[in-house]
Amino acid sequence: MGLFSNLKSLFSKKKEIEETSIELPSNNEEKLIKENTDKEEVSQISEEVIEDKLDNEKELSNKEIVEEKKVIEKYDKGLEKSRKEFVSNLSMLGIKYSKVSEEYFEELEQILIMADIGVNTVFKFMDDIRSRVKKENIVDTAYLNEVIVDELFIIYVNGESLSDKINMAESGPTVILMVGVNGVGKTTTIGKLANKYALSGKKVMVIAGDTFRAGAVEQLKIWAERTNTEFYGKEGIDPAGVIYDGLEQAKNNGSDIVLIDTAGRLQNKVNLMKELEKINKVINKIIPKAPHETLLVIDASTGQNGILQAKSFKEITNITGIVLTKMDGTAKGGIVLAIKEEVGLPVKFIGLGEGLNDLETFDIENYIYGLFKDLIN
Amino acid sequence: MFDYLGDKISNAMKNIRGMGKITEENISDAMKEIRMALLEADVNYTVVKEFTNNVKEKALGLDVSKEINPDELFIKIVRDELISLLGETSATLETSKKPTILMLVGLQGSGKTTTAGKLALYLRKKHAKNPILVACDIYRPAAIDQLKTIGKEIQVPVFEEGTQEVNKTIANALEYARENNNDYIIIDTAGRLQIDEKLMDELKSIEDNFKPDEVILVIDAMMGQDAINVINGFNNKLNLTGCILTKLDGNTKGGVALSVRHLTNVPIKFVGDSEKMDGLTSFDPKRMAERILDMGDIISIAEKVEGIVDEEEAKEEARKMRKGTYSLEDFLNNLKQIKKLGPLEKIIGMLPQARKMGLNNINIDPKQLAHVEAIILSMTPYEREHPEILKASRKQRIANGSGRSVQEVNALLKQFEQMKVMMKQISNGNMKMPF
Repeated sequence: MGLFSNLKSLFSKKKEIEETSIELPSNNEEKLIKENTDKEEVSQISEEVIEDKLDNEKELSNKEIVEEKKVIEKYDKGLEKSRKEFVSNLSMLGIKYSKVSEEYFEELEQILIMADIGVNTVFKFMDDIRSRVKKENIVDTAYLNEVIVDELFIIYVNGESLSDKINMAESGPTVILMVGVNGVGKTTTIGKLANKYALSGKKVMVIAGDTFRAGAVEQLKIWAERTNTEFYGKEGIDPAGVIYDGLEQAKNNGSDIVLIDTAGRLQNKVNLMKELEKINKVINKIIPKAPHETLLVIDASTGQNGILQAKSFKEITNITGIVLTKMDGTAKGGIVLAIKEEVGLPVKFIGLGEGLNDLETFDIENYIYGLFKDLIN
Repeated sequence: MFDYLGDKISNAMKNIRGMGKITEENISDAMKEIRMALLEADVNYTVVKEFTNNVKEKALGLDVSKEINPDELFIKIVRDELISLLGETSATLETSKKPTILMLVGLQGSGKTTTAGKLALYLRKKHAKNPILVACDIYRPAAIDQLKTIGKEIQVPVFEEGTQEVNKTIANALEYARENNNDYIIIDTAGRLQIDEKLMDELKSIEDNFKPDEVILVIDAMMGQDAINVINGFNNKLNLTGCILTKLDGNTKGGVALSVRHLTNVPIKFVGDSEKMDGLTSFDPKRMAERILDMGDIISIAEKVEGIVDEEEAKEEARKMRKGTYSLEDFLNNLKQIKKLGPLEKIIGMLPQARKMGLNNINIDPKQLAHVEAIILSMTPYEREHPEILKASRKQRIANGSGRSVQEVNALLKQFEQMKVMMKQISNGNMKMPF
């Protein structure tokens, strides 16, 4: 069962790597497995595995393991609401239909669509599942659930080597630009990112490029105070101007990380998108190769429009990744699977609450683990 | 907003045109298209199922007489079903007592604060009311500042007492409103998840203490399938009286509109359709259904124009057009009126004809209109009435004055002359419209 068992092995006591590598059905999965084994060191999930690992692994210090555990717990807690429903639906499906039938497919389709995975992605996915069921003559729904997890992984990973790394400047400040539609949580995410980098010992500066929304500058200023980071902003002037001055200052005072907030803009507003283009030019003028990262912030509850958001913003700016916010609610954020498939943008960070520390590096394994934990164990 | 949905259904209609009567086979493609379109529009999965079943049942059950085109009949069934899904009637705002208490609730980032401002302006301008805004978002940094800034912009007082417990603030606000003879209190609450029990209890306590006349859920039109959990979560805890859909000016298909009323019986009262403070429109289910069906939104345009164009002025202009005395001054006035209508793309998007011509995705640079305006404004009043006197030196002056080139001035004058000739011909009935 290839990837699924591999995943399972990460979550359970025994590792079944050998077994899985024997059963590789396709090239695609082969790549995945290889990647998973490569990534192994960072993806221990359960306590047992961690204990297990302690015996035969040298690289990881105790502290790192504890941190890793914390991250996983946070994912677990943050995703609890999303996972519970999704997984219990999927498990119920297995109980309700012990044999694969047309009704089973119909309900499976419903579950996937309700997770906002994206209509086209789901329909394509359903076709894949149907043909696999036919080809491999699968009748057992419990087994099919494994296939489903497997195929979902394939959609996201798509044979690429995924990197959630943030591209850092070789010298001088690393510039991270935040963009997105209104109300997705750009300013809050900047606060959390500032905190993250400040805690890791970086000199951080935040620039208030949202000069449009009333109170936005003030909001970012408060975040800067809370995180003990430097703030640059002026109300009521052209955002490109503020960013220009802010970056000059960041360059002169030796900031390591510069986080730039921008006004929320709906992707179909031509003039606002042009403004974003201008902002990019200004940034590039002061610091060549910047912005090093342009992150599109997407609300986990976003429906099909998320795909259009990703497409439109990618046309205007060089989006390097997604920040998926508000994952502590009931929304499942499945749209990121469609965005990855249709637009090719990976998720880099995930927002799991309103606290300063509620931002984590996105890890597809943790994410899917969070969604499928109950199903797998 | 429903462009895609309209197009898709329209397309599905085309396939059944030319057939004699509705059968299971000849609508199966159309039904599939409708289903897909609705799902892509984020309409709730179960609503889609019910909708397509109802439409199918009604379409097949009808005796199709030979005089009626089956596609027209089919469109009517879909339209009626959509209307019934959206709620048959438009919902109004409660006005019974003084002060009327409105409370806005919703998730983080759904647009409550902006909507509170829009509602206040709407009440002040359209209903000559005297509202106050009450700042109760005590959690998000600078949320109170945001409301204060908005209040200043729309000239509506904002009552705030910092980040103290909200029930105290509201009690004081109520007293303030009674003393100052305010007829509406609009409470802007903090965004919260419907599963956050502590914060939901806070809302419940406000509801219990002050019995708001309206508890309105503000919801993002871009929301996906989780919308129903959010709506139910708020509706189970509070007595929601209505809903406002925001960010409908994006290119979201906004299917959440279809789910809200049907699954919860909570009516949609307004839609937010621009970032400007006057971007709040009453929700009309019939109009929305017709819009979904690609019938265009003529009523919306007519309503907008009505508020802006003076009838007498319009008559005078028509007279001038007929006589050929329509001047650049008149043209300038018209331009200003057009600008007041809002972004031209939006107006064009509402026109079914324009949509069929593929103009619905057109981008019009408002700067171009501004350039034309600048050029005319750089002319003297006499020049505007008599553009024929404009020679090289005057044109150079106008170009300098407006910051445009002489070529642009020439182009504008030429276009204006052509337009005048055309207007005269049209009004004399000598020429058929080119379309």
